[in-house]
Amino acid sequence: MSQRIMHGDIVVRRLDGPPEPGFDCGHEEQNTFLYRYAWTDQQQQLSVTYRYYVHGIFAGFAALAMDGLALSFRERGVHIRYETVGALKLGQLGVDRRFQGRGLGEVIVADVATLAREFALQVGCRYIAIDARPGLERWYEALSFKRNKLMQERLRQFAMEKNRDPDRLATSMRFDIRS
Amino acid sequence: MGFRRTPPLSFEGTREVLEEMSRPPEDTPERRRIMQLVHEIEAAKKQRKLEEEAAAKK
Repeated sequence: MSQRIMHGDIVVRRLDGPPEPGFDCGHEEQNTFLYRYAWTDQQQQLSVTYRYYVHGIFAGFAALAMDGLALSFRERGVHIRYETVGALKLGQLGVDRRFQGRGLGEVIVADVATLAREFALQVGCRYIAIDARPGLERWYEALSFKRNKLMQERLRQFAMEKNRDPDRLATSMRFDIRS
Repeated sequence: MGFRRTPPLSFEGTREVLEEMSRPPEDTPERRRIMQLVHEIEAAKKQRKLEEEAAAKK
């Protein structure tokens, strides 16, 4: 088995132009986002993409945007009076095939958490929010993400009403960034 | 994954989220592990920043 990647092995660079070729995470959606949308979205201030280099090789990326988790009226109370709780959206995460299974995804999520915690010193931000691709829910749960269960059930019902496969839905999840 | 709008945590009127937000995060081995990594990265970033500031002063 290949050596586990430690955060000390990694250099993080904010995207500063179209990404260099050669990255392949094996998933069309993430590859397409990276090469077709990441830079133009960043120029339009819709998202910011960070590249993760392991020993100089472009090994992973994460694309981030601001987000909010909406609460229903009955979910609010004395402590939580807000309709929406601030969150950082981890919209895209990709790890190159050559580096998969070595812990890089976990390090990227932890690095995103450090960014969210930095932001939380400036503006209200309590969660990292994700829409997990089908099959990745348990991986995120192992990192302490929680499923937004009840809303997901509604989305599944809606998909079935529209004759869509509910198992192909992304799963809305959250990670509390507090220590 | 994608950038579609994150839906409300719940429309069902449970108080799960309110209660969750009113107390510290759960203390589980998984959470301790990821938060340890978060703290290590934060410490490394802080150290790097201090070193860069010191180098800039020279």
